Amino acid sequence: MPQLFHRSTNTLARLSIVVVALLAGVGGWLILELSRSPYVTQAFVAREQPVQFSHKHHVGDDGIDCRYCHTTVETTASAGMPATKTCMNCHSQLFANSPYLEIVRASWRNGEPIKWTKVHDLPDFAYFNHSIHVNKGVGCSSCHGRVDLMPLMWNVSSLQMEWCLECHRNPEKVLRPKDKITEMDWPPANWDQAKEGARLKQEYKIQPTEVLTSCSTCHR
Amino acid sequence: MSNNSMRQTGLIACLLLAGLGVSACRQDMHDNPKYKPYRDGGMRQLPEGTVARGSLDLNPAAPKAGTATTPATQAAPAVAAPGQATTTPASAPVPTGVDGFPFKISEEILKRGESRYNISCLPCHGKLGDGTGMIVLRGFRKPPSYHEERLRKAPSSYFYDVISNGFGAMSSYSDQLTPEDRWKVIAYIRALQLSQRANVADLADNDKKELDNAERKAQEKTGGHSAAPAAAPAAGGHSN
Repeated sequence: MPQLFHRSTNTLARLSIVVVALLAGVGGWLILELSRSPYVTQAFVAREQPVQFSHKHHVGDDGIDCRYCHTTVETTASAGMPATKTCMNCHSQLFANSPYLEIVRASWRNGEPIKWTKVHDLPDFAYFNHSIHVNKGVGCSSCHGRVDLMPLMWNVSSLQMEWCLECHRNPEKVLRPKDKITEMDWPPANWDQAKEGARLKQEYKIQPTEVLTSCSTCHR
Repeated sequence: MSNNSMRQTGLIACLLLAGLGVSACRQDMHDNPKYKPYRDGGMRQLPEGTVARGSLDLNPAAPKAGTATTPATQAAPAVAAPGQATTTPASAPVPTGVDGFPFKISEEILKRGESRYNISCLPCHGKLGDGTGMIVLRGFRKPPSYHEERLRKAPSSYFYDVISNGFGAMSSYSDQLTPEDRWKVIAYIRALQLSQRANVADLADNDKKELDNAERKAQEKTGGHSAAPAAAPAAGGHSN
């Protein structure tokens, strides 16, 4: 009876063990990469909005401070989505007849808030408070990126837990003076982040890493 | 052999599918069926006559509850749509003819006033308060300069009234500035007014030096073009 398998199958059989392990590894790596990719996190994907509101125009061209509209960022958990009244402060006169702003005017007439598309949507099981970050020297652009360059808004981060922890482990890497919180092109060229960050961490009495990375800090 | 490779491909496909499944399942926990702020859009326009909790205490100059005739309308933001504006007394009562402040002005208060001014007022009134902010350059009706005679002589309560209830093209800022912050902004406006008419001789020695330095720097840079803005904070920030 002739041999069923050629001698080389011995090698192939051994090789297949390695290949399976390798493929399993690559598969696992793919899954991890996929779950961090913009395909899942929607980072860098500009969102359509009911009104073509451009942060680039309002922040970049007009130089309006973030807090003109996001009024509660220093005092509450949410930065605050402005009421239509805030739009009308200027747009009662500027672009007052523009068809682009009809949705704003309709909202003003009937008192229904504009239904903006949420861009930075944290999972509901994570507790987040804007005010504590802003009051401890974490600036807007540290998390939201160069909003003054974004026509439609997008995320510059994954908003995943590892991204939060990255900063909670080393807060000194992003801290800045409190009066520069809303500056978009922070830091200036001569800013020594390592030195100043460590100083500000002391000055602002930032909690130690054990506290900042404790489960109940963000899951409560 | 072919069996082997089929099994391998099957395993990989399963793994990838499982991966997709894992990343897709998350949304259930992400979006709990609970109510969170702004889930349905932006801030609502406040119903007429709404008084925010604690907002009465925030206005040190407001008539105390019980002593005033219409205490409930204090701090009611004038957010009513134009058509409804006249139907209710949405305007906040303000002391008239008062030229003082409900608290002692300190540097800290001026700093706070400056930051709030730069957030809420600067877009139209401009960095110097001369009414040439970016929004005005874009075509909004130009507000009067703070440095004109009429406004330099106007009592503080007049500014408080305008911030709280709006005036002309300017809408009410009662929902963007707390009563306390309004007074602090007014204090800063006073500093701005002073800054444009201050005598160099009145400055302290170190402020004079700072002013000289700023002027020299500005001249080195552009040849005197930005000397005025550079001098203004130096004069306004320290003279009070």
